[in-house]
Amino acid sequence: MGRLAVVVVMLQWCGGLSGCVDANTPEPWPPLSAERFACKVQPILARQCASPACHGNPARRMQVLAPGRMRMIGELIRASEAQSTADRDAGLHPPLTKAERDFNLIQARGMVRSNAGWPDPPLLSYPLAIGAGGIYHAPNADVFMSRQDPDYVILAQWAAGLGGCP
Amino acid sequence: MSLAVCPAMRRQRLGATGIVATLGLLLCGFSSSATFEADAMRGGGGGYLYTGSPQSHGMDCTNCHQGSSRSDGVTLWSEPAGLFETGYVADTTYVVHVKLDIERRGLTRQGACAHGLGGCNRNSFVAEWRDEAGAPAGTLCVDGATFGVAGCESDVGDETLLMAKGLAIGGHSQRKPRLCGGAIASDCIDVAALKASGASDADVNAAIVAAVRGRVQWRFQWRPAASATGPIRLFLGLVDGDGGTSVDPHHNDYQGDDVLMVDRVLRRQGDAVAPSPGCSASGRFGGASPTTGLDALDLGLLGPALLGLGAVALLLLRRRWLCAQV
Repeated sequence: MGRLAVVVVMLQWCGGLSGCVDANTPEPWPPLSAERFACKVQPILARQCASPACHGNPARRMQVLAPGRMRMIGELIRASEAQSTADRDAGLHPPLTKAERDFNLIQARGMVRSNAGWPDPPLLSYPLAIGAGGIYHAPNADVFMSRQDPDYVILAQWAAGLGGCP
Repeated sequence: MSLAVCPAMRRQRLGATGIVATLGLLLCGFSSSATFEADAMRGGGGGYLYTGSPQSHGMDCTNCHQGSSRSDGVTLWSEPAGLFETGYVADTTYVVHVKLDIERRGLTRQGACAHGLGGCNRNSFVAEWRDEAGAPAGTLCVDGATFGVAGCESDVGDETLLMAKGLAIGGHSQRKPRLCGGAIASDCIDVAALKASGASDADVNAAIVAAVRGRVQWRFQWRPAASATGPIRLFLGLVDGDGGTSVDPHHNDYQGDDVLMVDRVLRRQGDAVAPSPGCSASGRFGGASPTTGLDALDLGLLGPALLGLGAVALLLLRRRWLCAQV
């Protein structure tokens, strides 16, 4: 009888008998456009974020692949084989493959959820200068000085669900 | 180190002989900074020059080239002399020399960067000059070209090329071997002699390819404006490339390279000595704001000195009082 009471108490403590539900269910992913990401967002990430000392680095929470920066080795070999001789001789790096673009999309998507208490999600807060309402990022890492920066607007529009590739 | 487009090749209509074709192939390897200007989605810098200037958001070569970084090891000098010692004279054309003092990387990978030959030794630099307000300072021109009314009359020289519409200058990453002309020189390839000794075109080509070296010295021209008065800051980044050791030797890579960054403030000749580079409270470079004779340092020393004097005076008074009691 004593053992049964202990079990009942434990179950109650765990919520097993009180009918409570898991309060930490994952939210659905925001409806973000893969097409617009590849068309408008990826070039900004490649230019502004993908340096090997920054997010082109496996040590970072958000990682960005880009030509001439961090790549997936197997994909790079495939892309190199598909590159035209003219582009290769011109010194241009082979473009990202679909797998690499998808990797970047997943990485960026994870930064679109808002942190509690933050006015904007990390994708928009970190690269924005503190004076413009951003969050401290890293030395020399204020990418956008204002919310009116055209690239910032593109990121914000994509994060808000805008799709298509104009 | 990244590879480059081949502007020299575009500009030259080369013949069809084996040797000349090889030279054309090699020329592709001599420019290096041009892909810097390419879109980031093609492997370029996307408009950033990575010189460490405010216009590059302070980003420099170390943002990409991962290896070691140091601030010494680059020697700069000018013709006429004195630019880096006593300052600039407005409206004077300077030939600026940039030299990597000791090359440490890529020495085992000398030779041309032709496709299929693997990695090759490359070194390069990028430089820009900015005035106090951050605007481009003076006019840049490649080596060997002349200044025209609208600026430099050529975008590409033997050793350097203009970048970002003339706002910056970059160095070709390789030095091609010279072919012996009429005069006998010790550091040229004597094609006629090789042919006379029975060498085939392929042999001659191989000799030329093997004699290509990573460049370690460059020249370019710079002319401060006639109206220039204030300090001008030189931002320069130089990469001593390791020749590419990764999976992508053709495009080379950013790992295992040495980076040397230069940040130098030049005053107009006759003006006060240039202070160390830094950002003042006004957000402009050039050192601290003017101070009076009694500045913070003086105040910092004055307090303890007064306290010490007070303590000595108290000790003397106490001794006098004790003596009076006796």
